[in-house]
Amino acid sequence: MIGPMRRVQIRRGAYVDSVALMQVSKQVGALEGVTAALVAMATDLNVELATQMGFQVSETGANHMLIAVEADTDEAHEAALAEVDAALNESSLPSSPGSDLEPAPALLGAAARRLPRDQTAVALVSTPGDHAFVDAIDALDAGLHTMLFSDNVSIEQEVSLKEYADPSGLLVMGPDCGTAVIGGVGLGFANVVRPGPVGIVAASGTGAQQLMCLLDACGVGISHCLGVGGRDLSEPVAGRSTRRALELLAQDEATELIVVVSKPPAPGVARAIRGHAASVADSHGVPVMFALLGPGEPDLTASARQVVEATGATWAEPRHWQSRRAPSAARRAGGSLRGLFTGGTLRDEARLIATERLGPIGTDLADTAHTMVDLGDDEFTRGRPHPMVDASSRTDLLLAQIDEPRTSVLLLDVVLGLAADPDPAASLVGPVGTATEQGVPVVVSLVGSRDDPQGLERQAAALADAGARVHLSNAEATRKAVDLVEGAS
Amino acid sequence: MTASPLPAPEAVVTAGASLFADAIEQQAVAVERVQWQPPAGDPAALAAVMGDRRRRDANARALHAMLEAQSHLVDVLPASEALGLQPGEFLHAGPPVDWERASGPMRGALMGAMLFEGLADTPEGAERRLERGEGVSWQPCHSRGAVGPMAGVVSPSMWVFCLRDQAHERTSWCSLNEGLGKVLRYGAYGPEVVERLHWMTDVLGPMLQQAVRSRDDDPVDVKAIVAQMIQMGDEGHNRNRAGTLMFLREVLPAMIDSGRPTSDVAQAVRFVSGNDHFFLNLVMPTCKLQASAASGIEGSTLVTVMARNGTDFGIQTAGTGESWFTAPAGTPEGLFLGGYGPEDANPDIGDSAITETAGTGGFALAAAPAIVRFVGGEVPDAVAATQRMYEITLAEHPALQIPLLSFRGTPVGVDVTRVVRTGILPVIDTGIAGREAGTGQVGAGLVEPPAEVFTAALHALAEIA
Amino acid sequence: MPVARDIPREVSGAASALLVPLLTAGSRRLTLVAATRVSRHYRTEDPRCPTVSVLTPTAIRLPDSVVLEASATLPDGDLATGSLVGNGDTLPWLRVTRWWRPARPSRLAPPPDLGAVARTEWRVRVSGVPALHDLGESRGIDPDALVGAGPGLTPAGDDVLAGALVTARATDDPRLPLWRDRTRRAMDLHRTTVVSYGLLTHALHGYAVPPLADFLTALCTPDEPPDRVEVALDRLMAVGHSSGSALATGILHTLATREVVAAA
Repeated sequence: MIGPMRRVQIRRGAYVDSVALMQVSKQVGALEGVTAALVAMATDLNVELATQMGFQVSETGANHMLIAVEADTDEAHEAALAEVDAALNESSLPSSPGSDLEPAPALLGAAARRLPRDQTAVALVSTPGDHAFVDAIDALDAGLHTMLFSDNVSIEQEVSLKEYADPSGLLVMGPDCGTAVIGGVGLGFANVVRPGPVGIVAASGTGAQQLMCLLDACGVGISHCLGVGGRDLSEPVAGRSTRRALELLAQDEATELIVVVSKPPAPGVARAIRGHAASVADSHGVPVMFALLGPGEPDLTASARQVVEATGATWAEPRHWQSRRAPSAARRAGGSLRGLFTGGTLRDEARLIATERLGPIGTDLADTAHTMVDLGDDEFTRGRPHPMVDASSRTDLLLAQIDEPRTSVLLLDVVLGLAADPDPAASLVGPVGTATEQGVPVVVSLVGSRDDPQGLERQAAALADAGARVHLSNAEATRKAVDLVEGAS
Repeated sequence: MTASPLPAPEAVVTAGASLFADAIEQQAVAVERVQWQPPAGDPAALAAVMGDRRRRDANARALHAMLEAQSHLVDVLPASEALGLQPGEFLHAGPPVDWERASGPMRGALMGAMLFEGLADTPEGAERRLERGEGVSWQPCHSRGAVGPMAGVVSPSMWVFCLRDQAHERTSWCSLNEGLGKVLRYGAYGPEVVERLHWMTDVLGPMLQQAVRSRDDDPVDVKAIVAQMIQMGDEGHNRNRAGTLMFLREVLPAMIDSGRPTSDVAQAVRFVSGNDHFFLNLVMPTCKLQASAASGIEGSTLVTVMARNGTDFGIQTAGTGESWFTAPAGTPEGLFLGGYGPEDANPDIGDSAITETAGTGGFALAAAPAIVRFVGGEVPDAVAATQRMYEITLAEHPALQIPLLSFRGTPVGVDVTRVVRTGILPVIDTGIAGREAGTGQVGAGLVEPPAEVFTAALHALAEIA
Repeated sequence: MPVARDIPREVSGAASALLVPLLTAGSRRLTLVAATRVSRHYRTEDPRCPTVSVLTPTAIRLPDSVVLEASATLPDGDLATGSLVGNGDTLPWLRVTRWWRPARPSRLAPPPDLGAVARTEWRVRVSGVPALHDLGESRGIDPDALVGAGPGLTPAGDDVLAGALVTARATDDPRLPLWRDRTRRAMDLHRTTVVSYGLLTHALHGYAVPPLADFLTALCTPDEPPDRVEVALDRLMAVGHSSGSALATGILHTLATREVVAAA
């Protein structure tokens, strides 16, 4: 019996983006005879990861591709390399028929120059944080409003970028902006919502998604949702993008009401932004509401209700689905609430709500007390896809929580929409079923619209069938989870 | 609709995760995807330069100046008169280089110039004096606003073309081209080389001077010839056939009218028309005038000089003045003459990369399909080379149009930031000199600058950003 | 996405918000009535939205259309609305991943003077449109004469009328109520094609193809650079075989005769 063999290949100067490579890794890892696989750019971080997996890597370089495979046989190794090639080929195929002669543009500015004159365009930058600044500058130089999905952009660069954009009247959405909808076009993680009168300015991606979905459920549509980045209302950034977004929305004919979704602004910024909002409201006749998620402030569902009623529509309580599976074990008593979120703002909202009744909620999974974590954080996404993109990357953590005897209730978010996992319920019904069997109730906060490609009904039904209680309101889901914890103790 | 400040995008330009581009395409919105790769160099330096708010405007001004520059042939005269070169003073190609680091062809050319000037009787004697620096000195052509192909050695008695950019009131100079094979600029210094140089000084130079000066009121517009040659299968660096003939057409009547012996005229005409590269020495100073017009503009990231001395490759940028950024030059790949092979090739040499700096040469390869095989490729390779250059340049040259690309202008104005960000290096098509002094030309091919010169320039730009 | 390999992914596309009521209210039959290289056109039985068009991305964006993603091919034969949106249980043929607002120029001020030169130029360019000889200076916009007049998928008379209706609504023209009434009556006589009927239905409410909206907006926005109007006119003229010039005729005629009518 020969043990598994580990082999490492470095391909110099072969850059492919990390999301694509994670998918390649996954495909290779799923081959028969392959026990472990890592296909990634040979950054220090990834090399460290490979080393932890037992591989020996001699070379690093952000432009080199690292292919590390652990397999039982030579044949399996060969098959793995063949799969890497096949998968890379597939990912590099242009999905739209372009000019055969002209090479793909290497820079954003060059790409923008290829657009037909008169075509309206925006830019979406999701390059690694170290480099995103210059790509965004390129987009601004090309005269495009720019969504900057990338995180790990320094606050100095954020300020510099927004100052750079200012004279041209362009909007910088981000950095770390997960969601935007411009004229119905969803950028990043966005829900399919119908056109309507509400314009959103969002310093929080999943917060905006929750709000949009709750409005859409009441038949209130969205004109635009402009992300500004989570730090925009901090002292140093001083709401530069928020102000620009307010102006753009105020001048937009389709927008009749503006909502700003954010954590409470820094004290120095709050007054200026409120003043700016008031002047926008005065000069353009477009009222501005604030949905600020903080202690003593209404939760997002309550804010959604205010918005719906302000538009003259009728508020309907967000839907929920009861568990359709009886637990086969007795409820665990006296344990803790464990919240595993994919959306940072959804986690923050849940913590605020739960803290009111349960006291302090930790943010570390190692903590055995009540805890709520954001699995979109860097520490969890190292070397694996974001759980919003691939729900299966959350499975092992869920199972570990169920195995922990002090876990009494699980609270999860499931975010639907464009760019999100095409079928998150498929990956979650297993762990949800296991939890239900073992007497651990699962509450799901399902953030999605009726038109989202995953099928809201189908997702909710699958989760409820597996035993989960499903709520479209994150706040309601949290309260339900807290009820269950309190009921058990 | 023009009314909305936030129109629904008809297209989205994406850089980064393909996941998001796919999701946008699913919404029936056009996506222009960037083939992104991490940039070279220090990200902080790149950010400082890209974030420099002078950059856009500075580059626009630099580019405007470059494209506006004129080039008229106003005189032909000895370098001693034109450039004030004193006996024992030489100019050479590329960034500064001392004797110790000088390559074979550079040494050979300097030795030949010593022999030509009568400063030594034998090659050995010349070599000794050069090595010891006895009464001799040399500096880059570029430091005097001049350019020289290959070794680019200019000595006081050699005759030079004098070209004038009236728009910016600048002048540039370049030696007269000696032809191919065993020639001084490729490092050959045998008796036939020196003899030819004497003939050029005694006969060709004065005759051209007379012809050029006779057209004082209507000087030859070299820039206009360059524009035409690009549409006639020349790229202006390694192929100058059409340009040479058009130039001859311009000066021939005056040469015949010069009153010089018909045998001299015939010999001069035979020399010029038999040397397809004669016009290179007029393209180069024309390009130098364009590049110089862009120099000294603070905040600009435009490359104003690319030049090699056979040892180092050096560049200058508009924003950093006359500072050189150098690194060891690469060795061209291509086809070799006769029994020569890659092992005989000297590293890249010559100021002729000024042609690429100003949007001709390798950048116009798609205009010169006939040359492609010579430099080892097929027509699609030439088209691809030119198209790749659009990624690292600021503009398309309004005057230099490529028929094969539907008269699209050649890529012009290399931007340091784009080179560093894309990893795409300028393509230079060039002659190959033999590495041993005295050998001469051994081939021709393509070469790229070392990437380090661009990162070095970027870091320098970042310090003053 | 890794999982996408296992599920045959449905085609996705972007639907006009005008189709919301039709597409989200139970499945209905969509009967194919016309097909071109870049489009399919269906009849519905819904009076609010009598037609649905399925378009490739290069087609002119009609107000009642679903635009397919670039990689999708046009369907064959009849469809049902259910197959355009799905209902959570079955995989639909097409998934709407975006709702868009069709162009609807509004609150425009009619240009005080179209300019003699420009007017001549436009006259020349829009002349030669068949069936427009009826549009004499004296008769003006007469829906009864225009509906269904001329050949084609959208008869030229309908295009002129659509241009006039959209312009009249956008500029708050006093003739609008009369034109609307007469158009509705003429349409009831089923004198035109199904596709054109659908487009007139939306034109009654001011919805238009983007080139029409852009041209009208450019024309009524005095600060626009002059070439903007020319560029917009070129784009409008490129619509269909003669539709563009007919639409332009409707716009220009409406704007040019407004003063005369107001004075009368």
